[in-house]
Amino acid sequence: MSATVLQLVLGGLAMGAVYALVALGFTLIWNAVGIVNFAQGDLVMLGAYVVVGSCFNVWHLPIGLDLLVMLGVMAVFGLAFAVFVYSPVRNAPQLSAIVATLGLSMVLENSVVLVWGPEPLSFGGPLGNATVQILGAKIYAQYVLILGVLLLMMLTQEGMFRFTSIGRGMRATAQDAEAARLMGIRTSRITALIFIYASVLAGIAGWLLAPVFYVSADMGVKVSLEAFASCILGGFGSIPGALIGGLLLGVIESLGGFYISSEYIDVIAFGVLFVTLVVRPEGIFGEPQLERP
Amino acid sequence: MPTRRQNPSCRGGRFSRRAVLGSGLAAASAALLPAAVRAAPSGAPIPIGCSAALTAQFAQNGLWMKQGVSLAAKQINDKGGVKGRPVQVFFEDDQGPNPTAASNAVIKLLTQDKVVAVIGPHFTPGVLPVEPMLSQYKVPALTGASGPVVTQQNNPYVFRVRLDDATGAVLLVKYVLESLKWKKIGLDYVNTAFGQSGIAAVKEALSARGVTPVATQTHLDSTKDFTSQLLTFKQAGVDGIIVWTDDAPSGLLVKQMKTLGVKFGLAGSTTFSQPPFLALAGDAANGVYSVTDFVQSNPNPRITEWKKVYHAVYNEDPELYATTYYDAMNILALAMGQVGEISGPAIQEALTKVKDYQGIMTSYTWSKNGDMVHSGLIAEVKGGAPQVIETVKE
Repeated sequence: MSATVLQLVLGGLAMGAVYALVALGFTLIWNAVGIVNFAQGDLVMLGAYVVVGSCFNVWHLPIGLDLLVMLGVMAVFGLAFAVFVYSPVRNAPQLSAIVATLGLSMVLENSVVLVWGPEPLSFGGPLGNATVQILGAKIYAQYVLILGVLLLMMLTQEGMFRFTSIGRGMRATAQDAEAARLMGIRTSRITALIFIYASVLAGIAGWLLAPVFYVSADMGVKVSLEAFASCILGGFGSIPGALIGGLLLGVIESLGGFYISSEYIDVIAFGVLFVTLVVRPEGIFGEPQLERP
Repeated sequence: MPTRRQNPSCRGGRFSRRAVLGSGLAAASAALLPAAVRAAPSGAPIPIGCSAALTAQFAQNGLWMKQGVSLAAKQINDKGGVKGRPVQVFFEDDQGPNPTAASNAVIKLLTQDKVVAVIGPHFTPGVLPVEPMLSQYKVPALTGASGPVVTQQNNPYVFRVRLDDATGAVLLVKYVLESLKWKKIGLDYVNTAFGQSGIAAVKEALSARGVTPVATQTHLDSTKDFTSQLLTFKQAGVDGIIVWTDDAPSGLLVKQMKTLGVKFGLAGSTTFSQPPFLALAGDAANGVYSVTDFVQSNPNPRITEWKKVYHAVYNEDPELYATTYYDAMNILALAMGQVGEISGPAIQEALTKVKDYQGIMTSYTWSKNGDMVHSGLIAEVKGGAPQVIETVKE
């Protein structure tokens, strides 16, 4: 029985880790430029297609190199995103920028079908179907990898934000772009870097997800919705909030599906979100003030 | 190739390569025929509509459907068309199980392209909202949607060219109880009109034999993690689960059964014998049972011949969608050939007279509620390919 609970919790945490990675991308871009990037889930999908559809299936790159090549592609894409999608509308009303990300989402979902075909792609990943035994519970090894990578990403990001000048520049730009500019920070460059980082983050999520989900044009849609809910649950704009919100949502879904009903899995998850919004509208880690310049 | 309307979003990539290949072959075969043999159809083209999932999650299925219909239409036109008139197929995108997109696609076919018959929509949630339009415009549709609700509407303009899930469920339940000797059975289904009506039919077939399922679970097309569902079945101690679902969840479900190391079996809807499932599930597909209309590895000479013909044009083996709708187009041509003046109501009446028409998939006979297929196959996946275990009749 306890093995079942452990299996459910770890499975939920792994799903939650994926939501958290995507939620982190939401949070970064929200903090930096004050828009919700609705294409964040589709960036996950793009990363997965690049790594499986091209690096692995066509170029036959070894595991590891495929990840590096994909991250390179995603970085270039992130830059293009900042220059061609965000930059033209950065002075327009916030809504225009949000609509631009929605447009990008549609373009991506249909473009991948044209490039890689409509059939979902299957991918074994570095671990194949391997499983590990933890306290008598059989766990999909990929789930453990996902949790490990999330932890690593959190530590790297925390270190970067605290101890590097680029990281400090990103934080300054996020807090107050105008003041940062006055302090000599080249905010447009920092903004571009944030888009690049958010895309790379999504790419990593795609690489991690590809063996668990299949790679299909709609794989980002549900993740994106859950990640958005994670952000709200944890507190929009808060990095620990995105992490805890994601993990919590994953575990709630998993336990709720088992102990209550799989039919009401979304009702349970979004019910918790609803209650949170009523009781604590700013989310778990959010600050009560929500006004932005 | 007859004039076909390309959905703009399907240009490029494999679509255009195939289109180029197809038209190349058509041109080559036309050039090889002496002018006298070619009975080029003249007269105004007969407009036929085809509502297929050309974009979104089920675009691959839509592409196969389009290929089956296009191939049949081309062969019909090469033989002189219907009553000397060529058939012209208008393709519209219904995005699969999307009621809104399917309604828009079919209303456009009916009102703008003024088609006399519709092929599709394929998905149960797509056909249901379209049914009132078909009777309003008096245009018949041939669909492969297998949800029992499709023909339970008693709409005379709806014809089904695949095995009804209600019948399929009876055949599958009989097999798992009598041949596999399952005692404790769990149910899992995709929460759409297709899954709901399919699993309702399974429940009915089980209760007719005095069996009550010990656990029932449900998921969505977008569900990715089946841990909690599989653990529920494990806890209930099932011998096997009967699953009614679509392509993407089918592969994940079976894969996760393997990684979680559960011991029970799985038998399910047609999905569990088709190429998308086999590709996605890999090794985990072995040992899965399904009730189906068509499997590629069927040794019947009719099927092997069809595979050759299809392969020559599209360079791949035909599967369920291409085969079903190739047959549908031919049944439609047969019906149109028997009417005086070609019109929706006349074709509808002619379709009700179809009896023992031998298509590729099976023999088609109209029965009162619009069902035309009355037999199915039980298949088991062995070595990565579905094998026909037995042919079962209603």
